[in-house]
Amino acid sequence: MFAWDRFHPSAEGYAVAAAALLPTVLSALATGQERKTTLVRGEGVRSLPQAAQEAVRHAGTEVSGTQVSGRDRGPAGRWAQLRRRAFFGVGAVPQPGPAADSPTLEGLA
Amino acid sequence: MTERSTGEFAVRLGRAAAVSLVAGTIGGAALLAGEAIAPATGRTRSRNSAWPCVPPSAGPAPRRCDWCCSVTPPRSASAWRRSRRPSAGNWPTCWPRARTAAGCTSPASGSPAPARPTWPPQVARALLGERPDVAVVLIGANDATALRRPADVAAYLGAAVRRLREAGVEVVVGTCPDLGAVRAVAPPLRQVIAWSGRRVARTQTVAVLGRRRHRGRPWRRDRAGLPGRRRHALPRRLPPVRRRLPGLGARPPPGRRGRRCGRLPPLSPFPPG
Repeated sequence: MFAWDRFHPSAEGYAVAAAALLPTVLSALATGQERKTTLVRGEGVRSLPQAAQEAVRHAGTEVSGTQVSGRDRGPAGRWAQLRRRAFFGVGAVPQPGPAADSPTLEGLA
Repeated sequence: MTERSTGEFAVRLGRAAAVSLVAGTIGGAALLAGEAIAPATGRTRSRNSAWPCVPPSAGPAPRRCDWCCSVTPPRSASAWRRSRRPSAGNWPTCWPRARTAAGCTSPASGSPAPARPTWPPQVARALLGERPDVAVVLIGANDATALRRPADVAAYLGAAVRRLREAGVEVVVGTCPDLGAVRAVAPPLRQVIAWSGRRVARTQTVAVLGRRRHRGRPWRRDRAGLPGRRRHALPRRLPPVRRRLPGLGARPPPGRRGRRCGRLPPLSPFPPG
């Protein structure tokens, strides 16, 4: 995962990073059907500061803005959704916490 | 006698604890400084031979490495248009429709906030010509290792993302990586840079997804386009409250008393009775 200097990523590390980013990029390129779905609170949906706090503790977690009952914002700020995507045969990593088997886990393999 | 010996023991114990605390603090700081300096000097020695992404081993360099590091953005608009041709040689053939840019750094910490939001020149280059469909912004570790203020770093990134979003570009941001995974850094310093990286990444996430405006920009502009209407909005709302407290503020003229209070009855500055 690291190059010879042990600080920079190697080619394999860049490939892994690209593989982690590519499903999100493909989702962003797709039409906004997936993003406009109204979600119920609890399916990986947090307030934005809480989602950011959880996402930095688990590398590869996607944080995207979402709506809860038609509203972008809640009492604690904007609503955000946590996702962990799978790519190229790698299984979806279960989310930590109570939303481990939520339907927001998805695989694009 | 017993009380005196107990007192002396307490004084000695407190003194020993204070000395231990000071020694531990100095020793820990020295250890962190040593760990921070040692890899930097080692990296400087080997900088001429291989920096940063060229593999030292013989043989052809992988193409992916060329893509990530050695593609330098053109300096002018005409050069950028020329470089978009497939025959320019600056373009990896496996990414025919992608534009890459590298080497973007945020402004130094402590610099005054600009009056208008600024974004890196790579954003302007990305929006030059045909509008891209998606922009991928990958954040490196320089901001975390330099211990820059997360608010400054995140404001710079947020301004760039907002500029791209205003142009109708989908943006995917890879925030600051988890620096705790770098095994080359010894543990005490590794925890420090991991904490710094998490802090920067958290602030960047909030700045990218939140709709907070740039720090140096006025919150609202009035009709003449001058900043600072918000500054005057607060005192206008204050008099109804100030009138209820005797001795605070001037009494409004009698003809306007109670006009701004809504449903509240006009108040007398003197208590009843």
